[in-house]
Amino acid sequence: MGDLNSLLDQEPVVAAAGVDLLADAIETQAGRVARTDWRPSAPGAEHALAILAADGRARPANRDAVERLLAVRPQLVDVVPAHSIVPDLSEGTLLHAGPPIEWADCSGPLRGALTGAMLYEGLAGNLEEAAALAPSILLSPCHHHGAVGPMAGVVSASMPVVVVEDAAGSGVAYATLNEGLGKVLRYGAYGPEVIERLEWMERVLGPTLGDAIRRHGPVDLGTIISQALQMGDDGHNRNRAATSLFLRQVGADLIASESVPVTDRSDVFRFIDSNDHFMLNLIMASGKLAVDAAAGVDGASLVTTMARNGTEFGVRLSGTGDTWFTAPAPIVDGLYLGSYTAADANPDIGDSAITETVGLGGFAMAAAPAIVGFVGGTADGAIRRTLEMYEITLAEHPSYRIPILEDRGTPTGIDATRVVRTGVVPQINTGVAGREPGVGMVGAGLVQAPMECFVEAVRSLAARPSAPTAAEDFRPWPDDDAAPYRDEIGGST
Amino acid sequence: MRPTSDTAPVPALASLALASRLNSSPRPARVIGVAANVAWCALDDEVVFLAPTVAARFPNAILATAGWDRLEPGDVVVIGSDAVIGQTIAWRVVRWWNPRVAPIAAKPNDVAAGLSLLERTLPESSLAGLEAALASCDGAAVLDGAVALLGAGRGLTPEGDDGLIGAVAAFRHMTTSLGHPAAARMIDDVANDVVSVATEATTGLSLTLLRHAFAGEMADPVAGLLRALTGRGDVGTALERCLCIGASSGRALALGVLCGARAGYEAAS
Amino acid sequence: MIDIVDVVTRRYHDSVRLMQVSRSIADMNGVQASMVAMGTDLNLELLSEMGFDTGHTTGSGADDLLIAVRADDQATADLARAEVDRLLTAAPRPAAGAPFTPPPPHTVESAADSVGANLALISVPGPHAFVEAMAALEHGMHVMVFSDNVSVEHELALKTKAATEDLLVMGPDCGTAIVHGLGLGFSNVVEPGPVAITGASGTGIQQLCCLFDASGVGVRHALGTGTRDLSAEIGARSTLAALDALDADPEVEVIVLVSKPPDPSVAESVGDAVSACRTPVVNAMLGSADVTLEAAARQAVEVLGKPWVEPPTWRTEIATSRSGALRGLFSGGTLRAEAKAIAEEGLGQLADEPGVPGHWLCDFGDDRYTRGRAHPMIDPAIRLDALAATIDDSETGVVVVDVVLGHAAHPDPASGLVPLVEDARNWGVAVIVSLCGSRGDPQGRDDQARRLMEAGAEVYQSNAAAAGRAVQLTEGVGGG
Repeated sequence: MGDLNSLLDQEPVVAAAGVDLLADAIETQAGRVARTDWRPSAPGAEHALAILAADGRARPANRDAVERLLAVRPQLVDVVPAHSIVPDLSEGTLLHAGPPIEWADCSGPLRGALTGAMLYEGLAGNLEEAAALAPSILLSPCHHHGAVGPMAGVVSASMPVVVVEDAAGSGVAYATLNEGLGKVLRYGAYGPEVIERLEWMERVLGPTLGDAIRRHGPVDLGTIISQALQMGDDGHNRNRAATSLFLRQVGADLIASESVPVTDRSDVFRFIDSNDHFMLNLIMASGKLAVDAAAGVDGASLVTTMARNGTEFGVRLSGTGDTWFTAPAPIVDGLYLGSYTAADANPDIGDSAITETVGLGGFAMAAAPAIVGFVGGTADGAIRRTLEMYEITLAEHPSYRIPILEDRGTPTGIDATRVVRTGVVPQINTGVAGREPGVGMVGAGLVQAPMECFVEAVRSLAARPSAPTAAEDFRPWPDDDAAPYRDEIGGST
Repeated sequence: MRPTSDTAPVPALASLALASRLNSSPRPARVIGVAANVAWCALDDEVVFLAPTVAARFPNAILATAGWDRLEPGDVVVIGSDAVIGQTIAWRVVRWWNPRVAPIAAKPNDVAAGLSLLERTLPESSLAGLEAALASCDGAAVLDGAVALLGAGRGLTPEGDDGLIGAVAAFRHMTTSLGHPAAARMIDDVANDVVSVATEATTGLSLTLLRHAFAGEMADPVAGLLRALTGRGDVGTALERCLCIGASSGRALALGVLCGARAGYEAAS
Repeated sequence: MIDIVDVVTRRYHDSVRLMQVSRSIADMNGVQASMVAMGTDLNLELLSEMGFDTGHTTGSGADDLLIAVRADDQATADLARAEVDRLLTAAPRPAAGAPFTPPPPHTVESAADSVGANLALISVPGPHAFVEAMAALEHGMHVMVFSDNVSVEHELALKTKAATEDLLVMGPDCGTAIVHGLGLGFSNVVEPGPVAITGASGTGIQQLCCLFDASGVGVRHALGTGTRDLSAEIGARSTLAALDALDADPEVEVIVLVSKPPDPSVAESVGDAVSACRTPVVNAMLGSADVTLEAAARQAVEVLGKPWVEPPTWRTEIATSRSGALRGLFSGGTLRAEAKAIAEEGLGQLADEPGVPGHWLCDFGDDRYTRGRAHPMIDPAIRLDALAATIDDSETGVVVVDVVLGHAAHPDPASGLVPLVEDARNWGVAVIVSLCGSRGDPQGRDDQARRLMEAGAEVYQSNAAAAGRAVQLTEGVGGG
C-alpha cells in the first residue's frame, strides 16, 4: 500500500531503469538515484511476461508457494529398503535423475549407472545381458516418486533409502545413501567394487544406520544445514561440516546398536566419516520435501524442480503441474581431476540442483569460501554470485544464513519470471561425470541453468487458463473499465 | 583559493533559509567541527552545516554527495555566489528546499491522538516548566523557562537547547494550525530576548538553530513530525525518523516537540 | 511485572546472533531481563536461575529456540516479543565498505531496496516498460514511465493497479515531472514555491514553470500524467489522482491543470473534480485561442497575490519576412498545440505535417519521429534537417521553432540553430523562437537567447507570445 500524500511530503528517492541521461539529470540536481543495470528480457518471453505482470494472481500465488517451501522442517526418521517405501518402485523399475528419458537417449554415465543397477539387482548376470535388457527396462524420474538422486541418481528396489519427513506437515521424501567419491554408481561406474559396495550398503550400512536413527529419534536436518552453512558448507559441493555434525549427532546411537557386530558398527562409522558428501543425499531429500510442499499453487512461477539426466536439463514450476520444460544439458565449467579435461566431461547430470532450488549450493556460495577455488572463482566472485541470486528469488531463508553477509538468509525460491526478465540464470555448483560409462567422477565446477527452460516454462504459465473455480469471477482488475484488458488475457489462452 | 581537482563542482542542495547568505558575495568561513556525517563552519554569525544529501535537512545545511568528509577543523572554505569552495571541496548550489512548514487545518481529535502516541513512546521530559509557561501564553515565564534550558545537558547541541528548539517550532506550528495566532505572536515577542541570552549561554550552533526555530524553520524530520501531529502522515513513522537525528539530538528534539505541541494544543483549546 | 517464555521448535540461530538479540531486547525501555537462546540444558538452567518459569520448556532441546522476556507490563512484553521476531527475521544489509563489491541491481525493485527509493523512473524500450512499471507498483513504488510506445491496455492496467494501492503512475510517455522540487525527465530549474501543476502535458508543464520563474514564483510539484491520460480510454485516472493529492498538500496554494485538448467527456469529469477542490485551480486545458499557458500562469500568480512579471523577450532588429506561409517546427507537443490554436484563429486550418503547401505546424517529438531514436530535445538532428529544408522552401515566409532548456535537454541547442537562423535572415525568412527556459537552467537561458537574437531571430519566453508574433508577421501586419 502506497501513500500519495507521503510522496508529496518529502523529496523522492529514485530507482531508475533505462537511459542513463535521466539518472544523470537527477544527480546533477544533487538528487538521490539508484541505477538499474537493466537488460531486455530473454527473447521470446516478452508477451508472456506482460500477461503474467498484468495477472494479479502471480504475487499472492508465489508468496503462498514460497511460504510453503520455507515452512517445511525436514527430519530424518528412518533408513529402509527402497522397495518397502518408495511408491511405484517395482523390481523391474529403475529411477534416474532429471526429466524423463528413454534408454536410447541416455548419456554414458546414466547408461553406466543403469547397467550397474541391473547387475546389482540381479536383473542381468553380465554386461551383455544388461545391454540386451536395457531397452526394455522401465525408466522413471526419481522426482516422480518423492525421491531425488545425485548425478545419475539411479534408485533400484533393493537399495536402502533415507526417509525424511516434514515435522511441520505431512510430506515425505527419499534418497539413496551416498556411496562416496571415485568409482561409484552415481558417476556411471559399474565395476565389481561398485557392486560390492552397493551390496555392503544394503546388508550393513542401511540396517545399522536405520537402527541407530530409530534409537536416536528424528534427526533435525534443517538445524544441521543451518549450522553447516556457518561452518563453510554450501550444501552441494561442500558437505564436510554437515556430515561431521550428522555423525556427531548419531554417533552415540550407532555405537549403541548392540544387535550389529561391533566391526560393522565401526565400518559404518568409518564409511560415513570418510565420505565428506554423506550428508548431500540427506540435504537433497530435505530439499525435495520442501519443493513438493510448494508444488501445485495455481499461478505461481516458483521453480520447484531443476534436474538433469545427463542429456537434458529440466525445470518444473509450482503453477504448471507436472510438465517438464527441458533444454540440452550444458557442459560444466570446472576443474578436472588428474589428466581429465572438458573433452572427457559428460553434460550436466543429477537431481542435486534441488539444493539450489531451496537456497543452497550455488545460491549459498558466499558461505563456502573454502571451495571457491575449487569451482574456479575468487571469494569476491562467490559473494557476488550469491548476491546476484537475490535478484531471482522470492525470499531469504529464515534459517539458512550467511555469516559474511551479516547473517542474511540465503536467496531462496527461484521465480522463473524474474529469471526471464533479468536474464540472470540460476548458478549451480556441481560435480562432473565422465562421458564414458564406467569412468566415474572427472571434476567439479559451476554450471548455469539454460535460459530456454525458463522461457518455455513462463510462456506455458502465461498460456494457462484461469483457475477453474475462479474462472467465472476472475477479473485482473476490480474495475469494469478494464474489460478490454481482460479480453486480451482471455484471448491469449 | 581553488579546489585542488579540476573536476566540475559537485551539485549541492541548500536550505532557503541560507539563500541570502549564499547569494551574496563570497566570504570565508572557518570549519569549527567535524563528525561522521557533517562538518560545520562559522559564517558570520551563522553556523552552517556541510553534510551528505542523505542527512537530515537542517535549516542551516548545505548538502552534497561528496566533500564534507574531507574537511578538517581549521580549514577555511569560501561561501557565497551559490557556491562552497575550499582546498578539498567545490560545491555549486543547484537546488533549494524550504525549511518551513505550512499550517495545517488540524482536527483536535487527531492532535490529541498523536500527542498520546508520543507520550507513550517517549520518556518523561524535564521540560515541564517551559510547557506550563507556553500553555498559559505567559511571555515572561516562557523566557524564564527557556533561559533555564539554554546550554543545559550534553551533546553537540546541548539537550536543553534541542528541547527548546523543538518546543518553539512545535508551539508555533500547533497554535497557528489550531487557529490561535495570538500564541504565535507571543513566541515572536520573546524571540529576541531568548536569543540575546542564548548568545552568552550556549554554543554558536545552538544559537543558529534556535534563531531558525523562532523563524519557523526546522530540520525536515521535525517538520514531518509536526505535520503528522496535525493529521498529515503517520506519527509513529515520523517519530522514528526524528529519533534518527544525531546521537541524542533526535530524542531531545522529539521531547521538545511533545512539550511545545502539547502546550500549543492546550493554549488553543 | 510480566514474564513471557516462548519455545519455537526447530528454529536454529547462531549463538552470537542470539546474544546480540538478547542484548537489544534487554536494552529496551521497560524490559528488565531477556534471554533468547537455543534450548540447551545449560540455557534452560540459566533461564530458571533468572527466575523464569521453565515449566512448559520441558522437552525442548538444542534445536529449539527459547525466548524469554521480563517486562514492566504486558504491552512492553508483547512489544519485546515482537521485536525478537523482527530482529531475527530482519534482513541485515552489509555495511558500507563491506569487503566485497556487490553486483549492480538488475531490477528496479532491487535498485530501490539499495537506497530506499519510493519512486521508479522507467525509460526502458516501450515493449518492456509495462513489466518494469508493474513490478515497481507491486513493490509499493510510485512510477514515472518516460517510455512511449506502451499500449493503452497496459496503461490502463498500470493506472488501475496504482489506484488500488494509492500509488501514482506518471505516464507512459510522461516527459516531465517535479516532485518536491526534484526534476524528473525534462525539467526546468525552479525554486521551491506554492504552485503545483498537473496534467497530460510535458512541455506545457515546462512552459508554465518558466513563466512562473519569470515572475519569481516557485513550483513545489509538477506531476505529468502521460500523453493519453485525458483520453476517453484512460479517463484521466492519473490526473484525477494527482489533483486530489495536490489539493490535500497544505503547502500548495494554487494548482494549474494543463493538457493538450482533452476528450470532451473526460474534460467534464475533470471539471467536476476541479470544482470539488479546496485549493484554487487554474484551468490550462488547451483547445481554444483564449486559453493560453501565459494567461493561466498569470491568473495563478494573481491568485497568489503576487505581481505578474511579463515574460522576457529578446529582439534587437525587427524580423522582416518575405510573404509566405507559416511553418512551425516544434519539439514540444503542447507548445505546438497552443501555437496551433492561436494560429488557426488568424490563419484558418493548419496542416500538422511538413511537405504540404500552405501553413503547417509539426511536432517532431511525436511517436512517429522518435521511434528508434532520441527525442529532438536531446538529439536535435532530425529537426535541424527539417528546418534547413523549410528555410530552403521558397513558400516559407515565417518559421516558428521552440527551444526547450532544462535538465536532460541538449546542452547547447543554440549552437545548431544559429547558422540556420542566419541563413533564414539572408533569405528573408523571419525566425521566431519560443524559448522555454528558466533563469537557472544549466544551458544558460539568457546566453542562448542572446545568441539566437544576434543571429537574427526574435526570441520569446512565452510560447503564446511567440505564436502570436509569428501569425502577425505571416499576416503581413508585422514590423512593429
